Amino acid sequence: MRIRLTKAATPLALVGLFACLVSPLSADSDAERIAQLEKRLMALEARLAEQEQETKEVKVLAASSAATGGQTSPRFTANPLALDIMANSAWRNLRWTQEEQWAGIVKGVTEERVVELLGYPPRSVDSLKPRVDRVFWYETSIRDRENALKGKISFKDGKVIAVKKPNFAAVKQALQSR
Amino acid sequence: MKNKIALATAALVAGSSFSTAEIVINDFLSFEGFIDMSYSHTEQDVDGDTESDNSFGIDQVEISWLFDFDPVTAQIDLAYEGSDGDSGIVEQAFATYHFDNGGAVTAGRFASMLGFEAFEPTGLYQYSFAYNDAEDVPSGFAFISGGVLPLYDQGVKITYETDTSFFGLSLIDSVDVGRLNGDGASDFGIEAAAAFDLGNGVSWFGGIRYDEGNDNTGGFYDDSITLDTYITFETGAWIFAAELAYQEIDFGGSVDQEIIQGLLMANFAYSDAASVTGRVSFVDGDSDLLGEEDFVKFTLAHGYAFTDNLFLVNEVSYVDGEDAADNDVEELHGAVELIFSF
Repeated sequence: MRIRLTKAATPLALVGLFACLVSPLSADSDAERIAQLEKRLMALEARLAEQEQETKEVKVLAASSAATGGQTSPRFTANPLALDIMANSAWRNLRWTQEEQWAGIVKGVTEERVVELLGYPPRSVDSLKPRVDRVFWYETSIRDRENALKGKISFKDGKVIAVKKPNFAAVKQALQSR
Repeated sequence: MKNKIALATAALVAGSSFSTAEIVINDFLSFEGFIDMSYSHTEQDVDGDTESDNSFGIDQVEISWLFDFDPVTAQIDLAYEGSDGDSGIVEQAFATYHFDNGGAVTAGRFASMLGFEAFEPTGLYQYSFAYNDAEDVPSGFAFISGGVLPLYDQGVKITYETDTSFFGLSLIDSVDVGRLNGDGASDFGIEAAAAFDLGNGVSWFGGIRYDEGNDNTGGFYDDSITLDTYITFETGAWIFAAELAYQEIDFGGSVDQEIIQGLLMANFAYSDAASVTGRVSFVDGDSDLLGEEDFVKFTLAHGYAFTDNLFLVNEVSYVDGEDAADNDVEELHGAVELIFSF
C-alpha cells in the first residue's frame, strides 16, 4: 500500500515539480507570442492601410457604382505584384476621384498642371464653342446623370477658364447610407 | 467653331503631337471623330445660263484611331465622304516617333502643312472653303476652283516644335502621281514650313512646296512650286486672319500656269456659344493652256454651339468672277450645317 502510495505520489510530484519549473517559462513564452502577434498585427495593419490608400479611388468608384444601383464584386486573385501594378494604375488614372486633388484646379492653371493633378482625362474634345479651346471630362459614368462622379474643365489658350468639380458630397452621402 | 490658328495648325497637321481630343479606351488606344451633315442651295448664272440645285445629306463621317506606344504614336483616319463618291477612304495613316527634344519623324499618309483653313469641318469658321466656288452644281471655272493648296500626301516628315515655334520638312509623293517614285522618271515633292508665335496674339506661318512632276511618263506637268503664308491675330473675342498663296506650274517648254489666291477673315464670338464670321477670298489664274480666270467670294457665316460637341452653322456666300471663255460667273450659295464631334 505504501508502495502504491509512493508509486502514485511519484508522478504527481513530478507533475508538480514540472509545473513549478515550467510556469515561469510558459509565462515568458506567452508574452513573446503576444508580442510577436502584436508585431504581426501591426505589420498587417500597416499593409492594410497601405492597400486601402492605394485602392481608395476604386472604393470611391465602387461607392458611386453602388449609388447607381450597379452590383460589382471584383475578386482579385492575382499575385501581390500584379495588385501593386493595378493599384498604381488606378492611382495614375483615377486620382481625380479624390476630392483633395481638385483643390489645385482653379482658373489660370495650365493644362499640364491639370493632368499632373488629376491624371489624363478619360474623355476630351476640341470644343466647338467659340470661346473654349478644349474640354476635359472626368467621369465614372456618363449614363447615370444623378449619381455618377462627373467633373468638367474648360481651357482657352492652354489655361483653365472654367471648372465644374464632381459632386463628392453626394458620394459621401451614398457611402454613409450603405 | 474655329480654326487652329498658326502654331496650333502647324503642330496639328504635322501629326507630330499627341491627339488633343479623344475618348480613351485604354492606355494605348483612343478614338475621336465627327459627323458632318448639311442642307445647301446654290444658284449659278454663267453669262445668262442659270442653274440651281438643293442637296441634303451626310457630307462626311470620320473616325480616328489613335495609338500611343510612347515614344511612338500612330493615327488612322477612316472617313466616309458621301458627296464625293459614296466611298470610305483612309484619309490619313501615319506613325510618328517622338524625340525628347520636341522633334518627331512621321511616315505614312498625312495632311499637308500648307494652308490656313483646316481640312476638316470641325476646324472651320464657316461651311464652305475660301477657294471653292460652287457646292451643289458644277464649278463655273475651268481650273481655279479649289485653289492651289495641297491636301494629303504620302512620305516622310521631320518636325520640330517649341512653345513658340514650329518647323517641318517633308519628302512626299508628287500631287501628279499617287506614289513616291524613285525610277528614271522620278516624281516627288518637298515641303518645308515654319510658324512662329510673335506674341500679343500674333502668329505667322510660311511654307513652300516643290513638286517634281512626271510628264515623261504621261503625267500632267514637269514641275510646280507653291508658296503659302498667313498671319493670324487674336484679341479678346476677335480673330483675324490673312493668307496669300501662289503657285506656278511648268507644263514643259514655255507653257506655264500661274495662280494666286488669298483671303481676309474676321471672326467675332459675341457670346460663349455663338460667333459670326466674315470672309473675303479670291483666286486669280493665268494659264497658257486654258486662259485667264478669276473670282472673288464673299462669305458671311453664323455659328452656334449647342454644346461642346454639337455645332450649327449657317452660311451665305456670293461668288463673282470671269471664266476662261470670258463669261461672267455669279453664284449665290446658302447652307445649314450640323456637326457632331467626339
